[in-house]
Amino acid sequence: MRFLWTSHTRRMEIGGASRGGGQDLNPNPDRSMRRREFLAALAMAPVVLAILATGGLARLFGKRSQADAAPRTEAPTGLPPGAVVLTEAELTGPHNLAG
Amino acid sequence: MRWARDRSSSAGGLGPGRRVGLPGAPQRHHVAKRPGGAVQCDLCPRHCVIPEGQAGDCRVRINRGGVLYAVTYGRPCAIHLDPVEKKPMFHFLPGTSILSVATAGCNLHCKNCQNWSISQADPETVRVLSWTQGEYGVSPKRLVNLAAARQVPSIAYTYTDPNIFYEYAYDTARFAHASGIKNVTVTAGYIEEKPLRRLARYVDGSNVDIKTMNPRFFEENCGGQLHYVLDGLVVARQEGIWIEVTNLVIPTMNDDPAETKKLCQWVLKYLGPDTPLHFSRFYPHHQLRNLPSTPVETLIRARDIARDVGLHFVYIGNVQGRDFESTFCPTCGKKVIGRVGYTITVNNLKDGKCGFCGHPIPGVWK
Repeated sequence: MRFLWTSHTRRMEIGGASRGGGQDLNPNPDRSMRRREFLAALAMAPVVLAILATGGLARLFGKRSQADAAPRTEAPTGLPPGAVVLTEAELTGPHNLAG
Repeated sequence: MRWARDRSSSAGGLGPGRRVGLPGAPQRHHVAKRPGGAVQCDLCPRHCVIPEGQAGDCRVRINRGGVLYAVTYGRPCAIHLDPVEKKPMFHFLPGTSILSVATAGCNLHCKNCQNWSISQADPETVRVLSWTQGEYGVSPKRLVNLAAARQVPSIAYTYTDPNIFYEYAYDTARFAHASGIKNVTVTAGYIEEKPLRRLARYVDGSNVDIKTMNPRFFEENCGGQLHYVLDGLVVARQEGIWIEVTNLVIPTMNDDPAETKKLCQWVLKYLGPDTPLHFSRFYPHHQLRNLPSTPVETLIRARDIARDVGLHFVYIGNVQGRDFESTFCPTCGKKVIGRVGYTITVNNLKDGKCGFCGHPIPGVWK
């Protein structure tokens, strides 16, 4: 982002000089607006990072179930090392099964 | 809960035949090579000869490179904590919960199947829980750990048929026994003798469907040969498995009193008078939606026939609000175990004996 912005700025300065002979180095009226957009995007960056860090993509694009969100508890004493105990929500499947 | 495969779970689908298949576990026992790269599955009486790339009648055993794979190994489509009375097992640790597991597929195709959405579906299309993804998503040890963590005394292989997920049930049952957990199979009993005896080492209790005593009805309605079921029951009894029998009474199909009497006499002769017999009420399902529910009077008549024949413990299931599910002492006639639905209301059992007269009540009580 930073590199692109620098390159764009340079291009604008060169273009202005060639057209106006140095009289108007900043002829583009959109430039200040672009700068504001850039600053706004920069301000949003920590928020985006925070969402990504908390696995928020899944929250944004799909509903997570309680089972997926719930932490897996450690196996109780006496079980093999690394054993995982399933949560209540994981006991599931089609309803109303006979037998 | 997210699903690994969020496609339709409707029954039907591909059925036996060519398919890509899931990874699965190789079937190492009860299988034989055949010419042309085919393999023969000897688990059940069908003895399917399966060409390369195709599945057997049960849909879940696929020949890949001359090796038969049980593709539902470690891929349960249902895991529940049920009351043991729901199986139904009435003389087996009453009042306890049982971890109940099933995978897709079945080797019978009963028109009245209540669990047809998973039993008559392809394993690729049945919804599998997201955490079962991976090569062997829910390993046998993991199932046993789950039961142990919940302090559940037993595991049931049920809903479809353990004969279909034989290796998965066998491995789980073996680990369960090593952990002091009992095993129960709820089955139609359509299995060959050798695999049955092998599995029986780790099975403590079994509820077996005798769907009919009419071989023609069994063939037309379920697509199998009845005598294999009856032979298997005798073998299971020989192996020391605690057996309870269920007969689903379907109006106009298998509710003839003469047939009921024949069934009761067979149970009396080959399994003994103390074998619990459950007459279960039919509700319209699957391909028999045109039939009505079983009248309660028909079930009562069946129970009376069974008692007249000499069976001691006869129950009526799937009927609410009546005292059809309690256990009465065959000697003093008093209520030993009272049940309402799946709840134990009274338990007068003392060390496996009637609390009133001391008559032994057979079953697995601890």
